[in-house]
Amino acid sequence: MSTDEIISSSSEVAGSNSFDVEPNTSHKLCSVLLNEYNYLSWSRAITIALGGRSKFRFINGKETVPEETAPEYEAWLAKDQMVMSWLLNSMERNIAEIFSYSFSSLELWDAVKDMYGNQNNSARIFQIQQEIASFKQDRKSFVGVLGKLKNLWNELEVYRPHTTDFVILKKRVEEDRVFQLFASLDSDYEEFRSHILMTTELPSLKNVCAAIQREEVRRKIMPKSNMSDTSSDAEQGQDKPIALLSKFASFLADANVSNSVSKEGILSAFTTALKISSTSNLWVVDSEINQSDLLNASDNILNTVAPLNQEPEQDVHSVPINQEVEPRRNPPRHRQKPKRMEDFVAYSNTDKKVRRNRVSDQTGRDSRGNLSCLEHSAREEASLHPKMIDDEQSKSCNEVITSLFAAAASLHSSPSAMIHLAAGKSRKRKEIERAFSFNDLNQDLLERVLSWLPASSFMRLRTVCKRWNSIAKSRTFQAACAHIPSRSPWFLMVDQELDQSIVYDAAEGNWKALNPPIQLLDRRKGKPIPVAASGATVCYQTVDGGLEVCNPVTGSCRKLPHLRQATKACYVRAIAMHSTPSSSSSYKVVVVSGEFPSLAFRVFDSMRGLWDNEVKLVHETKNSAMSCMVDGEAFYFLSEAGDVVATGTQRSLSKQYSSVLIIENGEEIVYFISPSATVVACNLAQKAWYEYPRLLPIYSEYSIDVVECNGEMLVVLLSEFLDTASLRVWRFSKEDVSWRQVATMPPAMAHEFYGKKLDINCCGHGSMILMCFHSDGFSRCVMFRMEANEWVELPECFVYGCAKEFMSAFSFEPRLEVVV
Amino acid sequence: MIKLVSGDGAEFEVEEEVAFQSKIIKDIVADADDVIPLPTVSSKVLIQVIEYCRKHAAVNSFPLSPSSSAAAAASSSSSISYSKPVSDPALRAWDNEFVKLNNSSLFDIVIAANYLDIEELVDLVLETVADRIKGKQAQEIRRQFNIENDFTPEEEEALRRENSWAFQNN
Repeated sequence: MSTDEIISSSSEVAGSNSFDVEPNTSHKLCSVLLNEYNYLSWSRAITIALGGRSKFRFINGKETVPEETAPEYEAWLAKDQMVMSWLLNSMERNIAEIFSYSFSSLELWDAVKDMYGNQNNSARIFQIQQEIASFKQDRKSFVGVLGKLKNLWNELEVYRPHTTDFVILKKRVEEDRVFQLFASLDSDYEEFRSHILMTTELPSLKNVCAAIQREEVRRKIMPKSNMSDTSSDAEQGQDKPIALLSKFASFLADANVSNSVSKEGILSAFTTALKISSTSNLWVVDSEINQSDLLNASDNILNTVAPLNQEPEQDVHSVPINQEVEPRRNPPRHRQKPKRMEDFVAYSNTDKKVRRNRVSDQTGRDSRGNLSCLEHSAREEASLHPKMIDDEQSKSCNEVITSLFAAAASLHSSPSAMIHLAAGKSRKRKEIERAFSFNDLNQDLLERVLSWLPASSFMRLRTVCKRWNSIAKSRTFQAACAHIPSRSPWFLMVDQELDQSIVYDAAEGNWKALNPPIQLLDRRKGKPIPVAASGATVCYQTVDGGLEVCNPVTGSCRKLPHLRQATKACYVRAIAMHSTPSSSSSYKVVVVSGEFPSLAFRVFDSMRGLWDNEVKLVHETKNSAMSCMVDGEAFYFLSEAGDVVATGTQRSLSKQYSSVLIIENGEEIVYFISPSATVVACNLAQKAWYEYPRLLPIYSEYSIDVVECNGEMLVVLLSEFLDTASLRVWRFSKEDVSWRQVATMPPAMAHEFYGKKLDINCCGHGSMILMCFHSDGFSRCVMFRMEANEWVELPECFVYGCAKEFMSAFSFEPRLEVVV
Repeated sequence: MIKLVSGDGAEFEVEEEVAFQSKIIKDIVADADDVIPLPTVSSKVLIQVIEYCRKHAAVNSFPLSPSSSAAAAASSSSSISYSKPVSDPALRAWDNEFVKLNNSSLFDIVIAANYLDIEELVDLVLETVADRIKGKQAQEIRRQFNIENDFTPEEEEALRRENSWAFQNN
């Protein structure tokens, strides 16, 4: 809303409407509606208009409100409601909506006053005074100059009405001095200046001086430290628009002298203006009156120059327009195409309102969108009115120059815009980033963003604010989490003391100390041992032989029903776990038990909550090469798991049931290492078990483990031959019934393991294998990534200054939503 | 061909299979005409969304195997439908390029995609946003996205202690 409009309309209201006393509820009290910026003049117009209708008492509180039961209540209500509807009709629609539920007109009036009435006009007063002081005729007609000055005077009058009050006058003198002081400051005080002008009450001259003094001292002490980041950017940002402006100004001067403008000249003015607008996007982002004035000014430039500008330059297109997507722009219907050059000014005036609405709607959106729209309309009009250049060139040139000049003048005279220009790029980037706020996301989208965060990030970012924190308990958030297809795994590390509080986070590449699940803390009889893991859960064996399934992240635990049969621990061969990726809270635990060769298995299904009956496994000797190993050597290695036997295979306590469960062609197969260090496969669907051929001659094998990697079973084998150690990963090829080597640890790395009598325990997840090498006084963890064939030794993990020695690991996906 | 009209009046003509990446448009077209006004979506955002839909329509146009279409039907029947992860590596790479935008653009896109009910795009953008914030500290997030800290220092400290493992950095 420009100043002259406000002033003319308020005087118009005072003049004409005071005679109109029709009690018409759809009536507007003044021709200018209340928007965010014109409260002062609007309230004055309303006061005059209501005074003219002798209804002023309703809004100044002098009218006493009768009791609801009183007979005069009806009459009062009728009048009051009428006043209220007048007031509402005198506001722009979006503002009227805010206040439409007021109880009485007085309440409405006060609410509006509270919202807009306390605006500090210091900045605007400063601006007007600057404008008046720097105003020059510059070859304009006297009428134009006087009109402009009169507008400024009038506006100043509204902000500073005449008074003889000594206190107010004294305050004004002080304010003026503050302003003059500001005006004299160098441009590097812009930010400081804007900061002070934005405060609700202008501080006294004394305080301002003190503040400037402090600022100066601060800059001497911190010459670069604070400014270094911003200043380099700021200089760029400052240079660019100012250089552009001066280019613009010199062009204007030239054009004015010759009084005829070449097409190229206007084109360059147009692109210059566009560049200015695009380098100072903030005009659009900030919704302040000065800046929207500026925006209008650039509108003026665009709309006026457009007809002459047949070929807009490509480099000013700020939005890449996909060739395939050709937007055919339809102008909104209410906009009439301007027919002649004179109409352009009026056209751009009607456009203001549209544009300003958009500014307030899209605060925070990328302003370039708007700019490109402007440009679209400019191009379109250019194509529609090409003839105008020939027909009315001389006439239009004057128009162009005037409006460009006005734009340039308003650019020069608007200090707060300059502040933003000076603040430069870094500030701009920050502002745009700010505009993107999570507060604007609805609950569903916010929950879904946070559901993608890894567990530790989520736990950390819960402290952002209460809204984020409360999401942890939301059911829909947990449902969203459950739909995240996979999480980067954590490896639960087990050391000799069976302390299970350390995990390795593969994505972040660091160690974390978990709070051990509460259920596991109180174990007087002894610590439970992790024996299997799948999905988000780990299965523990308690000292009494029972099994518990637990989510290590949340501590949610479930005790499985006791296996009633005579499976003492020594007979249990393997414990495997499997969970379906789609529903992580449903899982199966498979226990394979029995003496070779008579094995059997039982399955616990979490959905049904009970153990199935034991199923006997038939020993299958598919191939003569595989046969008779077990009987013969099992006799020889009559050991229980965990005991050291002739082959040298050792199992750490937690890995004595080490096994993997893999689904091949829809059949569940449990693989584990037999006491004689061969790989045994139990096909649960076919109820059969068989043994894989030995990898290497028995004397050169040292330690072996099975592991799941990318959905297939692999074997990791540490062997010693001659005087070196080698570690290889093998896959069993069914086609030629033999082992194929998949990967080899770099010899330099493997050589370190020679002669250490190491026990290896491996844990696979996706295409990763975490290998733990352990013996008395020696411990290493190596992460192998299959896809990159990358072997990385993990850093040592220190707890209270002591390096932890890990024996084995179990991988699981940290999922906060899984409840067992 | 379906005509989409953005909030600022620009019209875009797109093929049915492109527009039908949006479930909302699919539903609207079923019982209305072919000109669809999208008042809350700006041209700039709509261009990007159409670009995404065009790419995905081209890739997804291969005939679905009966099992996967059955799975799709099953998932759409549940109350909240979520997209399947994109499996095609080339498409995945294209997606990764697509989301190389600043945060506010991503934000506009996700609101538009949510409005148009293009689940894959919503998930893609949300995952990207999560990826950008996951390594940050709470204080950085508050500053960057202008979120007010409404915890008292005691409350915040208690919350940090409760989940102390999340704050370790070794």
